[in-house]
Amino acid sequence: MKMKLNESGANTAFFLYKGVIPLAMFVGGGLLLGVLTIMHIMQGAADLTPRLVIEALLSPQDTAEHHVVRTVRLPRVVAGILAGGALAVAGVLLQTITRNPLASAGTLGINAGAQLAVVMAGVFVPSLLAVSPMLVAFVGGTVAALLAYALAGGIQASPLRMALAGMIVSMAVAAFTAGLQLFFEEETTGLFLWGSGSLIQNDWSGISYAWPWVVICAVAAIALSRSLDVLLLNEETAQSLGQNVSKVRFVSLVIALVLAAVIVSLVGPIGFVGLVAPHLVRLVGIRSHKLLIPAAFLWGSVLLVGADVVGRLANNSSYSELPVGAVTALIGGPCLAWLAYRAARKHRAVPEPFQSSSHKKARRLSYGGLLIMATIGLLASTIVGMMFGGLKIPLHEVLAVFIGQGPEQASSIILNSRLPRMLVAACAGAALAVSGLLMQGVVRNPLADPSIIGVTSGAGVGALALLLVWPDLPIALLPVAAFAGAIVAALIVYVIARRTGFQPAVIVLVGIAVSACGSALIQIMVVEAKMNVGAALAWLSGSTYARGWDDLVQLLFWPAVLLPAAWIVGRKLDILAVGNECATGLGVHVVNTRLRGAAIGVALAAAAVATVGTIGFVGLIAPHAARMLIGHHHRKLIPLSALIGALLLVLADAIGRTLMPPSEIPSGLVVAIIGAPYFLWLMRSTQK
Amino acid sequence: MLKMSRLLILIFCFSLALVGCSSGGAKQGTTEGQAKPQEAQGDVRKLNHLKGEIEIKGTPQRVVVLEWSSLEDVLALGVKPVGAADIDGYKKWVNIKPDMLEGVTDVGSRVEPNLEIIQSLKPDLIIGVDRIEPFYDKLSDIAPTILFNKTTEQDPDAYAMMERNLKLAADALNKQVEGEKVLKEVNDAIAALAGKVKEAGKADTEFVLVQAFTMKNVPTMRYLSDNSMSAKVFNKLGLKNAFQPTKYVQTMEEGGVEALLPLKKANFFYIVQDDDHIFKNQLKENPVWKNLDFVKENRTYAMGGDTWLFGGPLSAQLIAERAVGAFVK
Repeated sequence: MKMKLNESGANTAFFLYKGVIPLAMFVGGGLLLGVLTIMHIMQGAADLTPRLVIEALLSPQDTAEHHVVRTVRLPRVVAGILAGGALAVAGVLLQTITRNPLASAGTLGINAGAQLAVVMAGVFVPSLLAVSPMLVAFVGGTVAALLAYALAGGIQASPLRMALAGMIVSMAVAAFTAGLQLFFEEETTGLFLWGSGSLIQNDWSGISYAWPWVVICAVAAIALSRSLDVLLLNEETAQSLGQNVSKVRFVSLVIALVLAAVIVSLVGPIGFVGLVAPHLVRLVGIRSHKLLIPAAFLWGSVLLVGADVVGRLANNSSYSELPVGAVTALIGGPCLAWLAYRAARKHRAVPEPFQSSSHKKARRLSYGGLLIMATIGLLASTIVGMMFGGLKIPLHEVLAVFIGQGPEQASSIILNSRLPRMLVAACAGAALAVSGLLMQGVVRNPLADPSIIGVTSGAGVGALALLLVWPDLPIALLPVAAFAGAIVAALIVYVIARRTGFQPAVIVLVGIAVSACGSALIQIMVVEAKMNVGAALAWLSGSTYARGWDDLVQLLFWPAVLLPAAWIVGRKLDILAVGNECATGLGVHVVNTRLRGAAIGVALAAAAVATVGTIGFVGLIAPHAARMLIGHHHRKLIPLSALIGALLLVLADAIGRTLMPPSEIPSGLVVAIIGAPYFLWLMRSTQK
Repeated sequence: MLKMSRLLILIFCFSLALVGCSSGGAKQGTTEGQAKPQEAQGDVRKLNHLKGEIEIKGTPQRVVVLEWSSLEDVLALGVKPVGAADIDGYKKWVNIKPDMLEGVTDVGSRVEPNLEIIQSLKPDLIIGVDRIEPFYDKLSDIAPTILFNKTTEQDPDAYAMMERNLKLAADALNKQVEGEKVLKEVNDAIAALAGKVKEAGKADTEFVLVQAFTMKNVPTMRYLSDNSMSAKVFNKLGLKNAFQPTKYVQTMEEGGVEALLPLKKANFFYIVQDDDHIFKNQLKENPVWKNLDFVKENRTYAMGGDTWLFGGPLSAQLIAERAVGAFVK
C-alpha cells in the first residue's frame, strides 16, 4: 500500500506561495524558538531579575546567581532544543523509511525499550550505566524496535499494524518497567519522574556528551536527504534510479535509533514530539528532505521548549513541575487523533485484513472437549491456588474446609481471603478476555485490546482523579469513578470514530491517542499530588490484592448480564469479518452491530478495571489462544476465551501470592510477564 | 546480593510462567500450633484514630505493625511486636532499637502487607497508617486495627501529630505511663540540646534541612518545610527555617541546586546516603554549589544516612542529637 506522506493537506492556494512558505517556516520557527528560549531562561526556582539574567549571560561573574543562569538554566533550554530537534529528525527518518505517517521513536516502542534498558541497568548493573547510558539505551531501543517490527509481520506490515505492534511492545515493556519500579522502590524512585521525561540539567556534562551525536546524526540525515526523497517514490522506481534502497533504509534506521537513544539517556523518554513535528512541517507543503529535516528539527525544538515552558507556568508557585513528557503527550494525543481523523476522511475505508493466528488448526479435541478441558484446568488451578500463598495449606485441609471440617485458620484464610480473590480474578479475567475478543471483532484487528482503545487508562484517570480531587470521599467510590472514566474515554473514541463511519483504523488510533492523554494525566496527577508512588503504581499495574466477597458481588453483575449479550452479538460479528459490503448484503447492519459489540466490550472492560485495576494483556492473549484452538466463530470463541481469561488471571493471582512471600507480585504484572513472551512465540508461530 | 536474588526470582517467575506450572511455595509458617493469645483482663479504652472511635480491651499481647513510624513507636514503648512490615527497610533507613526485632516476622511490604501471614500470627492489635486504609475492613476482620492520625492543611504540625500518635499507640497498648515517660525524656533531651545551641551563641540562626539523592543523574534535594516533624525539632533547638514556601507544604518540596540560591546564607544540614553522595560527587566541582555562602564558609553539616525524618519520638531525639553534634563543636 502506498502511503501519501507528502500531501500538503492544505488547499491548492498554498502552492502559489511554495517558495515563501519554507522561508516563513524557518523565520517564524526561529523567532518563536527565540522567544520561548528567553521565557524558558527566565523561569526557575530562584527569582532572578531579567537584568541579572542578561548580565549573567553577557558579563559573567563568579557568583552563585550568575552560575545558576549559565550552568542550570542554559543547559536545560539547550537540552530542550537538542532533544526536540533530535526526536523530530528521528521521526522524519522513521516515517520515511517505513512509509508510515504514524512512525516515531515513541510509537514504535523505541523510547519504552530504551527506558526499560536504562531502568534495568540502574537496578542490576549501575556501573554499566555510569560507563555509557547511551549504549544501554541504544540496545534497549533497538531490541524494542525489532520486536515491534517482528510483531507487525515484517516489511509488509501496514502503517496501522506497525503502530499497533509498537504500542503493544511499549505496553509490555512499560508493564515490566513498572514492575521493576514496584520491587526496587528505593533504587528507582529517582527514575519515576524520568519515566515521563524531564529536561532538568545541573551542569553541561549531559549536553557536552549528547550534542556531538545529535549534530553528527542530523548532518548525516541531511546528507542522506536526496536518497530519502527517492525512497518516497515507490520501491521499483527507487531501484531503477540506482538507489540501494535497503542500504539507505538501514543507515537511516541506525541514525534514528542513535538519536532516540541519546535523547532517552539525556532527558528520558519524551513522546509525540517526533510524531507531531514532522507532520507540522509537511502540512505547509515542505516535501524535500533537504528542507524537511532542518525544519522538523527547528519545530521539534519549538514544541519541546514550549511544552517545558507551559509545564512550569502551570505550576509556578512551587518547586515541583509538570513532567515535560506528560505535557507533550497532552498536546500530541489530540494531534494524533486529528491525524487519524484526517487520514480517514481522505481515503475512506481501507479494510484491514483480519489476520489471525489460526492457520494451522491442529484440533485434536472437539469443541466440547476443549470447554471441558478448560473448565477442569480452571477448577484445578483454583484448588492449587487455595493451597499456596503466604502459608501453605495441605490439600486435605483445603478439601476439609469445603465440607466444613477444616482447621479454623485454614478455613478462614481460604474462605475470607483466597477464594474470593480467585473468584474476582476469574470474573475479571473472563470479562477482559471477552472484551478483547469483541473489540478485535469490531475493529477487525487481532491486536485490539481494552487498553489500546483507551478504556483502561480512562479508568485509571477516573480513579486517580477521585483520590486527588475529593480525597475525603469514601474509598468505596473508587470503582465508580474508574467506571465513569472508562466510559468517558470510550465516548470520546466513539464521537470521533462516528464521524468517519467507524473505520477500524480510526477507532484504534483515536484509542491510542486517548490512552496517551490518559497516561499523561495519570502521570501529572501522581507528580502533582505527590501521591505515594508505590501505592499508585500498585493500583495502576492491576492487582487482585485484598479483593473480597464485596468486590465479587459488585463485579459479578456485569459479566452475568453482558456475557450472554456478547453471545447474542457474536454471530453477527462473524459476518462482519467477511467485509462491510458482504455483511450488508447478508442483511447485517454493520454500524449497529459494531456499536453493540463495542458497547458490551467497553462495559465489560470497565467493570473489570474498576475492580482489579489496569490489568492488560488478558484481552489480547486469551482470544488468541482460543482462536488458535478453534478458529473464528464468535459464539464458540466467547465461552472458551472467557474460560482461558479466567484461568490466566487465577494462575497469575496464585503465582503472585506464592513466589516471594511475604511480598506479593501484583497479578497484572504477572500477566504482563507471561504475556510478553507468549506474544513473541505467537508471532513466530504465525509466520511459519 | 539482594538485588541478584530478586533478579533470580523474577527470572524464576518468568520461566515458571512459561511452562505454565504453578508449583512452588512458601513455608513461612504453619497453620497449626499457634497458641491462643492469652485473654488479658482489664479495662476497655476508647481511642480516637483515623477511622473515628475504636474500643480496645485489656493489654494487647500480639501486635502487628505495618509502617516504620508506628513500629518505632511500639519499640519505644518497650513492646516487641509479633510481626512488622519491611523489617530490612526499617533497619536500613530508621534503625531505632533494631535489636528488639530479633525473631519478629516480616509481613511483607508497607504498601501491600501479606494478609495471610498477618492472620497466621493471630494478632490482637494491628497498627498502621493511612496508606493501608483501602483494606482497613480486611485488617479489622483479623484484629482490632488502629490507624495513626495524619496532618492536614488545617492541622499541619507534624511534631504535635507525632506526639499524639505515640500517645495513641501507648493508649492502645495499655502503656500510657511509658508513653508519657518517652515523650518527657525526648522533649527534655531536645531542650537540653537547645541549651547547648544557645550556649554556643548559635540560637536564632537560620537553617536549611535537606534529604539529598540523585534523580536521573541530577542531584536533587528535598527541602523540609516548617510543618514537618524534623524542621519542628530544629525549631525546638532554637533555629529558624530559611525555607519558607509561599503556599502550604506539609512535609517537603523537591528541587535542584538552583533552589538553594535564596537559602544560601543559612546553615546547611543534609542527609545523604554514602553510596549516593551528591555533595562529594556531582556537586563538588559545580560552580553554583561552590559559590553558595554556606559552602564557602564551611557551614554544611552531615546528619548521617540513617536519620529518619518521618519517624517517632526517638527519631526526633536522634535528629536533634545529630544536628547539634555536627553544629556545635
